[in-house]
Amino acid sequence: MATHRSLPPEFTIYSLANLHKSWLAALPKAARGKRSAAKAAATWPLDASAVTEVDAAAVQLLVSLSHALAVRGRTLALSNPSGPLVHACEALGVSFLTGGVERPAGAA
Amino acid sequence: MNTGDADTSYIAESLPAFISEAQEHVELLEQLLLQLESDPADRELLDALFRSAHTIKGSAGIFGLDRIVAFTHHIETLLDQLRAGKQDFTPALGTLLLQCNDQIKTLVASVQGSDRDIDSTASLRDALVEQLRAAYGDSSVAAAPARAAVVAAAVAVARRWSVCVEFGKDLYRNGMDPLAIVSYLGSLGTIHRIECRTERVPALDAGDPEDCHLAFTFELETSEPKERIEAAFSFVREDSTLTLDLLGDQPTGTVVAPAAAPDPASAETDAGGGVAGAGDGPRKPVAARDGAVAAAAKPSDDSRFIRVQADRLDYVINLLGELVTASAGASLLARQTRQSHLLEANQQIAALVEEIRNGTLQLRMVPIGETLARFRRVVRDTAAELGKDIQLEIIGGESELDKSVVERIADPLMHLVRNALDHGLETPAERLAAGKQAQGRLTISASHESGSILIRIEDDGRGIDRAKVLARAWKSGLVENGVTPPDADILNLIFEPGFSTAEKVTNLSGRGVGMDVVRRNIQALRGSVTLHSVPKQGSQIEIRLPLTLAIIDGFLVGVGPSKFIFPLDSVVEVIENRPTATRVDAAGRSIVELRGQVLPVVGLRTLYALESEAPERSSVVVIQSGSNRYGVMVDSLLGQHQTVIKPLGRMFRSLRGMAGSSILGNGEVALIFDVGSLCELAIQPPATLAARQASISNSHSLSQLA
Repeated sequence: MATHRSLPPEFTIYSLANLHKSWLAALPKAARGKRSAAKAAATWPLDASAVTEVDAAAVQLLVSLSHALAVRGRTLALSNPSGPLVHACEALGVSFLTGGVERPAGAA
Repeated sequence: MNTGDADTSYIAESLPAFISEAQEHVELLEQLLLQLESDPADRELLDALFRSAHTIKGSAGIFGLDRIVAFTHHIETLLDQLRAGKQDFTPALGTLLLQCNDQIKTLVASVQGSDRDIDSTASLRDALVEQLRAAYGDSSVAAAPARAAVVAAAVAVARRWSVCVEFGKDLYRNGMDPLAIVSYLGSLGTIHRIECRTERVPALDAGDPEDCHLAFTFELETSEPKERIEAAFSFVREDSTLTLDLLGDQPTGTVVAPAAAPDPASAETDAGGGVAGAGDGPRKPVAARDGAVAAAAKPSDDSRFIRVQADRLDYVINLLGELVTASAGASLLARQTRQSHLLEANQQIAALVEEIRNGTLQLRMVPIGETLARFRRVVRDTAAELGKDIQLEIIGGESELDKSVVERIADPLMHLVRNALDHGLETPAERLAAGKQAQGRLTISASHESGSILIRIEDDGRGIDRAKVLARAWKSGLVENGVTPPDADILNLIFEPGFSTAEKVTNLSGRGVGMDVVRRNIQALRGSVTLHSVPKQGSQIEIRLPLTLAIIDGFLVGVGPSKFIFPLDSVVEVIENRPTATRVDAAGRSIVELRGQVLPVVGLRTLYALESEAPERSSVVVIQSGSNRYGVMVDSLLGQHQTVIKPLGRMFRSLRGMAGSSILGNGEVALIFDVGSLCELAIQPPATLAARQASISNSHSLSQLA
C-alpha cells in the first residue's frame, strides 16, 4: 500500500464525514473468487498513533470499516494505537480493534 | 465514594439551572395541555408533553429531588398511556393534568426556597396522585409503602445489574456520546464484561457514519439505587432502549424490565425492586422510538442558548450607557481640536460603540409570546368560572422587545385580559340572543410599528356602554353632572382614578386595581394606551410600548440654547418652515401645508415658554405618532445622537410631552420627547376641554350612545 493512512488527532464525530469519504474511496475492490484466497491474509494498515480525542461515533466508524474490510478479505490493522483510543475501545467493548482481546464470536 | 464531594458541589452549582429549566418545562407543559384541549388527537403534542414531563423527572432525579420525581412519575405514566393511544384525552384529564402541573410548579418553587415539603399542599398532591393512579388504572396502590420500605433497606448494598442498551439512531446528531455515558456509569461502580453488539453496525459502505448503531450489554456493580443508573441515560432515553435487570442477591425477586411490555400494570407489579413512587417504571422502552424523530430536534435547539444572569446583563448595559455618553464627549473634543486623524479615530470608535450598543441591546430582547401564552390558562380558567365560551387567539408572539418591558407589561396586560373576559365578553346565551356566535373571541396580537411595539387586545363582546360610563362618571364626580364630553373622552374616563363599572364586584376584576393603574403602569414604560369600542360589537385596546428602555437612536434639535431629542424612529422628514398666514395660538400651535395636506405644527418656543430670540430660519420636524402626523418647529437640526435615556427628576415629571432626559457629550442635558403625548398637545382641538362644559342635551347624547 503506497499511501500512508492515519487517523487525525481529533478523531470525533466532526471529522467522520471526511474520513468516511476518503476510506470509501480507498477500499479495495470486493474480493471475488480465487483472488480472495490469495489476499485473505492481507491487512489494511491505519496509523492510529496521533489520536488524542475520540468519541463513540468514531469508534463505531472503525467497526464499520473493519466490517467493510472483512467482506473484502482484509483485516483492519491499527498501528500504534494511542492511549485515548485504546482506552475508548476498551470502555466500549471493542478492544479487538486495537488488538486487545479476540474479536467476539458473534461479530461479523 | 470519592466522587461524593464533587457531586455535591456540582449539584449546588447546577441547581439554579435546574430550577429555571424546570420552570420553563412547567410553563411548556401548561401550554401544551391547553393546546391539546383544542386538539386532543394531536400526537406530536402528546409526545412533546411526555418529553417535557420526562425531562423534569429526569433532571430532578439527578439532583435527588425525590418528591418531584415521585410525583412526576405518575403524570408521566398517564401521559404515556395517552401517547400509546390506550386512553383518549378528555377535558377531565386535562384539568387533572393542569392541576398536577401546578403542583410540580409548587414543588420546584419549594426547592428554591427550602427543601422542606410544603405540608399544606402535600395532601393535595396525594389526592392528585390517587386520581392519576385511578386514571391510568394502577392496581398496586396498596403495595407501594411496603415496596418503599423494602427498597430503603436495600439501598446501601452493592448489587450487580445487567444493563442492555440500544442507542437511538440520532444520538450523535443530538450531541450525545455513548462513551461519556459508559464512562459516567464507570464512576458509579465497576463495569464488567462490556460487549458491543458490533453485528448491528453496518459496513462502511452501507450506512451513514453519523447514525448511531451502537448497542451494549454489560454488568454494573454498584451500590447506587436504580434511578442513579437510569439517570445516566436520562438524556438519551427518548430514543434509546434500556433494559436494567438486577443480578445476584436482592431482597425481592428480580427486577424485570421487559423491553417491549407496554402494559404498565404488569410493569408495575414486576418492578418489585424499583423504588416505589420514585422508581422509574420500566415502561421506558415502550414506544420510545416512535418519538425519536420529533425528539431529535429539541436538545440541539437548547444547546444554542446560554443562560446569563439578568443583573450581569443590566450591569453591562449601564456601563454601555456611560460609554455612549463618554464617546460622544470625546468626539466633541476631537471636533474642537480640528485634528483630522483624531477625528477619524473617534469616528471609528463611535461607530464601534454603536454596533456594540445594538448588539448588547439585542441581548435583552425577548419574544413577547411567552408572556402572551400565559394568558391561555387565564382565559381557560376564567371562562370556565364565568360560564363563558371563549376562544383565545394569539398573533405575533415572535415580536421582540426589551425584557424589562416584557416583565413590567405582564400585569397590566393580565388586567386588561381579565377585564375583557369579565366585562366585555358575554355568556353564550347572551351572545345568541344578540345574534352572535355562542363562542366569544378574544385576540391578543403584537406587532412592530415605527420603533415601538403595538399590543392589541380585541374582543367581540358587548362593547363599552357609554351611558353607563357617563352615569358612573357623573355619580363619582369625574364629570360635572349633566355634562356630556365627546365620545372619545367618555371612553377615556374609564382610565380615570376611582372609576369602575362592575355592577357586582367579582373575583376577577373590581379588586380596587382599576384601569387607572393599568394606564399609569403603561405610561411609566413610556408607552400609551388607547381604547376603541363599538357598542354590541366589541372593544379594542391598543398599547404602544417602546422597544427598549435604555438607549435609543435620537434626533437632536435645538431651540435657542435648549436641546431636545426625538426618537429617530418617529421622525418622518424635516421641512423648511415657511412663513404662513395661519395664526399661532396661545399653546404655540399652527398649521402648515405639506404636499397639499394640512399638518398641525407646534412651536416649542411658545409651548415651553423658552426665552430666546426666534431665528430667521427655522425647520419643522415631521413626527409620526400612531396614525397621526404632526410637525414640531425647531431652530436648528443637530443630527443623529445615541441617546441614553435617564429618568426625569421629580420636579419635571409633570412636564407634558417629555419622556426623559439625556446627557450630551459636552455635559449638557437634553430633554427627550414623548411623541405620543406631544402629539396630543399638537393636534388636540382647543375645544376639547370646553366641550365638557358644552350644553348638549343629555337625552340627545344618550340616545346616540345606546
